[in-house]
Amino acid sequence: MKCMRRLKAKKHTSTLYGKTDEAAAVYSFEKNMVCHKSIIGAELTQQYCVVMEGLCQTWAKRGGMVGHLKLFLESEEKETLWLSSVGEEVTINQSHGWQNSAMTGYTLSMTAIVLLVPKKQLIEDVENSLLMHFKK
Amino acid sequence: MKLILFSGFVGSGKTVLILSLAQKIIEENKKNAPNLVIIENEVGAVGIDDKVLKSGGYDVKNLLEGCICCTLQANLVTTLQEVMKNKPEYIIFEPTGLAYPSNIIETVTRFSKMEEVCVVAVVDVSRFSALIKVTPGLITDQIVAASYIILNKCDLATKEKIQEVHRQVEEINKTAPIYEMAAREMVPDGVWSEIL
Repeated sequence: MKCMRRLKAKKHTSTLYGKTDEAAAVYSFEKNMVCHKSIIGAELTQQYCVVMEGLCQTWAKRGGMVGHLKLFLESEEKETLWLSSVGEEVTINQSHGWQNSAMTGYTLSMTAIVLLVPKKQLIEDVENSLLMHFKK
Repeated sequence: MKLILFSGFVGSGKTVLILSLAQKIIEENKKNAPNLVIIENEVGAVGIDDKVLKSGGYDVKNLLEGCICCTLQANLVTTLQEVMKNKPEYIIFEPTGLAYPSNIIETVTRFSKMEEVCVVAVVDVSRFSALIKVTPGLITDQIVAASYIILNKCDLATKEKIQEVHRQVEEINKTAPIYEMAAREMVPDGVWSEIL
Protein backbone atom coordinates (compact mmCIF):
# COMPACT_ATOMS: atom_id res chain seq x y z
CA MET A 1 0.00 0.00 0.00
CA LYS A 2 1.47 3.36 -1.02
CA CYS A 3 -0.21 5.78 1.29
CA MET A 4 2.48 7.78 3.02
CA ARG A 5 4.71 10.68 2.30
CA ARG A 6 7.61 11.95 4.30
CA LEU A 7 7.28 15.33 5.97
CA LYS A 8 10.75 16.07 7.21
CA ALA A 9 13.85 14.06 7.83
CA LYS A 10 16.93 14.30 9.99
CA LYS A 11 19.65 12.19 8.39
CA HIS A 12 22.85 11.10 10.04
CA THR A 13 25.48 8.67 8.91
CA SER A 14 28.67 7.40 10.39
CA THR A 15 31.19 4.63 10.04
CA LEU A 16 32.95 3.11 13.02
CA TYR A 17 36.25 1.34 12.80
CA GLY A 18 37.50 -1.25 15.25
CA LYS A 19 41.09 -1.99 16.18
CA THR A 20 41.73 -3.89 12.97
CA ASP A 21 40.18 -3.35 9.57
CA GLU A 22 36.79 -4.44 10.89
CA ALA A 23 34.27 -1.83 9.88
CA ALA A 24 30.52 -1.36 9.91
CA ALA A 25 28.52 1.19 7.97
CA VAL A 26 25.77 2.88 9.95
CA TYR A 27 22.71 4.78 8.76
CA SER A 28 20.35 6.23 11.33
CA PHE A 29 17.47 8.66 11.00
CA GLU A 30 14.10 9.78 12.29
CA LYS A 31 11.22 10.81 10.02
CA ASN A 32 7.72 12.05 10.68
CA MET A 33 5.39 10.09 8.43
CA VAL A 34 1.93 11.26 7.36
CA CYS A 35 -0.71 8.94 5.90
CA HIS A 36 -3.19 10.17 3.32
CA LYS A 37 -5.82 7.99 4.90
CA SER A 38 -6.11 6.28 8.23
CA ILE A 39 -4.15 3.06 8.57
CA ILE A 40 -4.14 0.49 11.36
CA GLY A 41 -1.02 -0.68 13.18
CA ALA A 42 -1.30 -4.27 11.97
CA GLU A 43 -1.07 -3.10 8.34
CA LEU A 44 2.00 -0.99 9.06
CA THR A 45 3.66 -3.90 10.83
CA GLN A 46 3.17 -6.01 7.74
CA GLN A 47 4.49 -3.31 5.40
CA TYR A 48 7.61 -2.65 7.43
CA CYS A 49 8.34 -6.37 7.76
CA VAL A 50 8.34 -6.53 3.95
CA VAL A 51 10.70 -3.52 3.81
CA MET A 52 13.10 -5.12 6.30
CA GLU A 53 13.10 -8.53 4.62
CA GLY A 54 13.73 -6.88 1.25
CA LEU A 55 16.66 -4.84 2.58
CA CYS A 56 18.24 -7.87 4.22
CA GLN A 57 17.96 -9.81 0.97
CA THR A 58 19.48 -6.91 -0.98
CA TRP A 59 22.49 -6.68 1.33
CA ALA A 60 22.97 -10.45 1.30
CA LYS A 61 23.09 -10.32 -2.51
CA ARG A 62 25.69 -7.56 -2.28
CA GLY A 63 27.87 -9.80 -0.10
CA GLY A 64 27.12 -7.84 3.03
CA MET A 65 26.31 -9.01 6.52
CA VAL A 66 23.51 -7.37 8.46
CA GLY A 67 24.76 -6.39 11.88
CA HIS A 68 21.41 -5.09 13.03
CA LEU A 69 18.45 -3.51 11.31
CA LYS A 70 15.96 -1.98 13.72
CA LEU A 71 12.90 0.22 13.53
CA PHE A 72 10.80 1.95 16.13
CA LEU A 73 7.42 3.44 15.23
CA GLU A 74 5.40 5.62 17.57
CA SER A 75 1.86 6.72 16.79
CA GLU A 76 0.22 9.99 17.80
CA GLU A 77 -1.47 8.04 20.62
CA LYS A 78 1.95 6.80 21.83
CA GLU A 79 1.35 3.24 20.70
CA THR A 80 4.67 1.67 19.70
CA LEU A 81 6.11 -0.94 17.38
CA TRP A 82 9.70 -2.27 17.57
CA LEU A 83 11.03 -4.39 14.73
CA SER A 84 14.50 -5.85 14.56
CA SER A 85 16.38 -8.23 12.31
CA VAL A 86 19.88 -9.58 11.95
CA GLY A 87 19.28 -10.78 8.42
CA GLU A 88 16.75 -13.57 8.49
CA GLU A 89 13.50 -13.34 10.39
CA VAL A 90 12.05 -10.08 11.73
CA THR A 91 11.34 -9.94 15.46
CA ILE A 92 8.18 -8.00 16.31
CA ASN A 93 7.42 -6.31 19.65
CA GLN A 94 4.51 -3.93 20.08
CA SER A 95 2.52 -2.10 22.71
CA HIS A 96 -0.87 -3.58 23.64
CA GLY A 97 -2.86 -1.12 21.55
CA TRP A 98 -0.64 -0.98 18.45
CA GLN A 99 -2.25 -3.76 16.41
CA ASN A 100 -5.72 -2.18 16.21
CA SER A 101 -4.71 1.44 16.57
CA ALA A 102 -5.82 3.62 13.62
CA MET A 103 -3.46 6.46 12.77
CA THR A 104 -2.87 9.18 10.21
CA GLY A 105 0.71 9.82 11.23
CA TYR A 106 3.59 8.35 13.18
CA THR A 107 7.30 8.81 13.86
CA LEU A 108 9.69 6.37 12.23
CA SER A 109 13.15 5.84 13.78
CA MET A 110 15.49 3.50 11.97
CA THR A 111 19.06 2.30 12.36
CA ALA A 112 20.87 0.04 9.92
CA ILE A 113 24.29 -1.37 10.81
CA VAL A 114 25.76 -3.45 8.01
CA LEU A 115 29.18 -5.00 7.49
CA LEU A 116 30.90 -5.31 4.10
CA VAL A 117 28.56 -2.89 2.27
CA PRO A 118 29.75 0.68 1.50
CA LYS A 119 27.98 3.41 3.45
CA LYS A 120 26.73 5.18 0.32
CA GLN A 121 25.19 1.97 -0.94
CA LEU A 122 23.55 1.35 2.43
CA ILE A 123 21.89 4.78 2.43
CA GLU A 124 20.76 4.42 -1.17
CA ASP A 125 19.23 1.00 -0.50
CA VAL A 126 17.29 2.21 2.54
CA GLU A 127 15.99 5.36 0.86
CA ASN A 128 15.00 3.52 -2.31
CA SER A 129 13.15 0.88 -0.34
CA LEU A 130 11.19 3.44 1.68
CA LEU A 131 10.36 5.40 -1.47
CA MET A 132 9.22 2.26 -3.25
CA HIS A 133 6.91 1.22 -0.40
CA PHE A 134 5.70 4.55 0.94
CA LYS A 135 5.93 7.09 -1.87
CA LYS A 136 3.02 9.50 -2.13
CA MET B 1 26.53 0.59 43.75
CA LYS B 2 27.04 -2.01 41.04
CA LEU B 3 27.65 -1.46 37.35
CA ILE B 4 26.54 -4.19 34.97
CA LEU B 5 27.91 -3.80 31.47
CA PHE B 6 26.35 -5.78 28.64
CA SER B 7 28.81 -6.48 25.84
CA GLY B 8 27.96 -8.31 22.65
CA PHE B 9 27.73 -7.71 18.94
CA VAL B 10 24.83 -5.74 17.45
CA GLY B 11 21.72 -7.88 17.26
CA SER B 12 22.87 -10.39 19.88
CA GLY B 13 19.90 -9.60 22.14
CA LYS B 14 21.35 -7.20 24.71
CA THR B 15 18.28 -4.95 24.90
CA VAL B 16 15.88 -7.87 25.41
CA LEU B 17 18.10 -9.19 28.22
CA ILE B 18 18.34 -5.75 29.83
CA LEU B 19 14.54 -5.45 29.79
CA SER B 20 14.36 -8.76 31.64
CA LEU B 21 17.06 -7.82 34.18
CA ALA B 22 15.57 -4.36 34.75
CA GLN B 23 12.19 -5.94 35.51
CA LYS B 24 13.85 -8.27 38.03
CA ILE B 25 15.67 -5.36 39.73
CA ILE B 26 12.52 -3.24 39.96
CA GLU B 27 10.45 -6.16 41.28
CA GLU B 28 12.97 -6.83 44.03
CA ASN B 29 13.46 -3.19 44.95
CA LYS B 30 12.65 -2.89 48.64
CA LYS B 31 13.47 0.81 48.83
CA ASN B 32 10.99 3.58 48.15
CA ALA B 33 13.45 5.34 45.86
CA PRO B 34 14.24 4.25 42.28
CA ASN B 35 17.33 2.02 42.33
CA LEU B 36 18.19 1.56 38.66
CA VAL B 37 19.54 3.74 35.85
CA ILE B 38 20.25 2.45 32.35
CA ILE B 39 22.88 4.16 30.19
CA GLU B 40 22.29 3.53 26.50
CA ASN B 41 24.90 4.03 23.83
CA GLU B 42 24.11 3.76 20.14
CA VAL B 43 26.23 4.43 17.08
CA GLY B 44 23.42 6.13 15.24
CA ALA B 45 22.37 9.72 15.94
CA VAL B 46 18.85 8.46 16.56
CA GLY B 47 18.30 6.06 19.44
CA ILE B 48 16.06 3.02 19.10
CA ASP B 49 16.93 0.95 22.17
CA ASP B 50 16.42 3.88 24.53
CA LYS B 51 12.88 4.29 23.17
CA VAL B 52 12.22 0.60 23.75
CA LEU B 53 13.53 0.78 27.34
CA LYS B 54 11.75 4.06 28.09
CA SER B 55 8.49 2.54 26.86
CA GLY B 56 9.02 -0.02 29.66
CA GLY B 57 9.06 2.87 32.14
CA TYR B 58 12.77 2.79 32.97
CA ASP B 59 15.13 5.68 33.69
CA VAL B 60 17.38 5.83 30.62
CA LYS B 61 20.29 8.15 29.79
CA ASN B 62 21.42 8.43 26.19
CA LEU B 63 24.84 8.60 24.58
CA LEU B 64 24.29 8.75 20.85
CA GLU B 65 26.24 9.02 17.61
CA GLY B 66 29.44 7.36 18.68
CA CYS B 67 30.90 4.68 20.86
CA ILE B 68 31.68 4.91 24.58
CA CYS B 69 34.75 2.72 24.15
CA CYS B 70 36.40 5.33 21.93
CA THR B 71 34.73 8.48 20.53
CA LEU B 72 32.39 9.12 23.47
CA GLN B 73 34.71 8.29 26.38
CA ALA B 74 34.52 11.80 27.86
CA ASN B 75 30.71 11.79 27.61
CA LEU B 76 30.66 8.43 29.35
CA VAL B 77 32.63 9.77 32.29
CA THR B 78 30.47 12.87 32.76
CA THR B 79 27.22 10.89 32.37
CA LEU B 80 28.41 8.26 34.83
CA GLN B 81 29.45 10.86 37.39
CA GLU B 82 26.07 12.58 37.03
CA VAL B 83 24.17 9.30 37.47
CA MET B 84 26.27 8.30 40.49
CA LYS B 85 25.25 11.47 42.37
CA ASN B 86 21.81 9.93 42.95
CA LYS B 87 23.39 6.72 44.25
CA PRO B 88 21.28 4.12 42.44
CA GLU B 89 21.85 0.56 43.55
CA TYR B 90 22.40 -0.58 39.97
CA ILE B 91 23.65 1.05 36.79
CA ILE B 92 23.24 -0.93 33.58
CA PHE B 93 25.36 -0.02 30.56
CA GLU B 94 24.33 -1.01 27.07
CA PRO B 95 27.20 0.00 24.82
CA THR B 96 26.95 -0.21 21.07
CA GLY B 97 27.52 -3.71 19.76
CA LEU B 98 30.69 -2.42 18.11
CA ALA B 99 32.29 -1.51 21.45
CA TYR B 100 35.39 -3.05 22.98
CA PRO B 101 34.39 -3.63 26.63
CA SER B 102 38.02 -3.69 27.84
CA ASN B 103 38.30 0.01 26.86
CA ILE B 104 35.08 0.84 28.74
CA ILE B 105 36.20 -0.96 31.89
CA GLU B 106 39.50 0.91 31.79
CA THR B 107 37.67 4.26 31.56
CA VAL B 108 35.18 3.39 34.29
CA THR B 109 37.77 2.15 36.77
CA ARG B 110 40.06 5.10 36.12
CA PHE B 111 37.49 7.89 36.40
CA SER B 112 34.79 6.63 38.76
CA LYS B 113 34.64 5.11 42.21
CA MET B 114 32.35 2.28 41.21
CA GLU B 115 32.25 -0.37 43.92
CA GLU B 116 31.63 -3.30 41.63
CA VAL B 117 31.77 -3.75 37.87
CA CYS B 118 30.63 -6.87 36.09
CA VAL B 119 30.52 -7.61 32.39
CA VAL B 120 27.86 -9.81 30.82
CA ALA B 121 28.84 -10.90 27.31
CA VAL B 122 25.95 -11.80 25.04
CA VAL B 123 26.80 -14.17 22.20
CA ASP B 124 24.41 -14.86 19.33
CA VAL B 125 24.89 -18.62 18.91
CA SER B 126 23.25 -18.67 15.50
CA ARG B 127 25.75 -16.15 14.05
CA PHE B 128 28.88 -16.79 16.07
CA SER B 129 30.77 -18.73 13.39
CA ALA B 130 30.12 -16.05 10.77
CA LEU B 131 30.92 -13.10 13.05
CA ILE B 132 34.17 -14.51 14.42
CA LYS B 133 35.40 -14.69 10.80
CA VAL B 134 34.26 -11.19 9.79
CA THR B 135 35.20 -9.32 12.97
CA PRO B 136 37.44 -11.57 15.10
CA GLY B 137 39.14 -8.87 17.21
CA LEU B 138 35.89 -7.35 18.42
CA ILE B 139 34.07 -10.61 19.15
CA THR B 140 37.08 -12.00 21.03
CA ASP B 141 37.45 -8.85 23.16
CA GLN B 142 33.76 -8.92 24.06
CA ILE B 143 34.13 -12.49 25.36
CA VAL B 144 37.54 -12.12 27.01
CA ALA B 145 36.34 -9.20 29.15
CA ALA B 146 33.26 -11.04 30.47
CA SER B 147 32.47 -12.01 34.04
CA TYR B 148 29.42 -13.95 32.77
CA ILE B 149 28.60 -15.18 29.27
CA ILE B 150 25.14 -15.69 27.84
CA LEU B 151 24.83 -17.87 24.75
CA ASN B 152 21.64 -16.40 23.35
CA LYS B 153 19.26 -17.40 20.54
CA CYS B 154 19.76 -21.10 21.27
CA ASP B 155 16.29 -21.64 19.81
CA LEU B 156 17.76 -20.84 16.39
CA ALA B 157 20.58 -23.37 16.55
CA THR B 158 20.96 -27.15 16.66
CA LYS B 159 22.22 -28.90 19.80
CA GLU B 160 25.50 -29.67 18.02
CA LYS B 161 25.94 -26.03 16.99
CA ILE B 162 25.31 -24.84 20.57
CA GLN B 163 27.88 -27.33 21.90
CA GLU B 164 30.45 -26.20 19.33
CA VAL B 165 29.95 -22.48 20.11
CA HIS B 166 30.05 -23.26 23.84
CA ARG B 167 33.41 -24.99 23.35
CA GLN B 168 34.85 -22.13 21.28
CA VAL B 169 33.66 -19.48 23.74
CA GLU B 170 35.04 -21.46 26.67
CA GLU B 171 38.42 -21.56 24.91
CA ILE B 172 38.43 -17.76 24.70
CA ASN B 173 37.31 -17.22 28.32
CA LYS B 174 37.98 -20.16 30.61
CA THR B 175 36.70 -18.63 33.86
CA ALA B 176 33.32 -17.01 33.19
CA PRO B 177 30.16 -19.07 33.81
CA ILE B 178 28.27 -19.74 30.57
CA TYR B 179 24.46 -19.78 30.37
CA GLU B 180 22.52 -21.06 27.37
CA MET B 181 19.12 -19.57 26.61
CA ALA B 182 16.63 -18.03 24.20
CA ALA B 183 16.07 -14.73 26.02
CA ARG B 184 13.15 -13.63 23.88
CA GLU B 185 11.27 -16.68 25.17
CA MET B 186 12.56 -16.86 28.75
CA VAL B 187 15.58 -16.15 30.89
CA PRO B 188 16.09 -19.29 33.04
CA ASP B 189 15.46 -18.97 36.77
CA GLY B 190 18.47 -18.10 38.81
CA VAL B 191 20.59 -16.42 36.12
CA TRP B 192 19.87 -12.86 37.25
CA SER B 193 20.16 -13.80 40.92
CA GLU B 194 23.70 -15.03 40.30
CA ILE B 195 24.67 -11.93 38.33
CA LEU B 196 23.12 -9.49 40.82
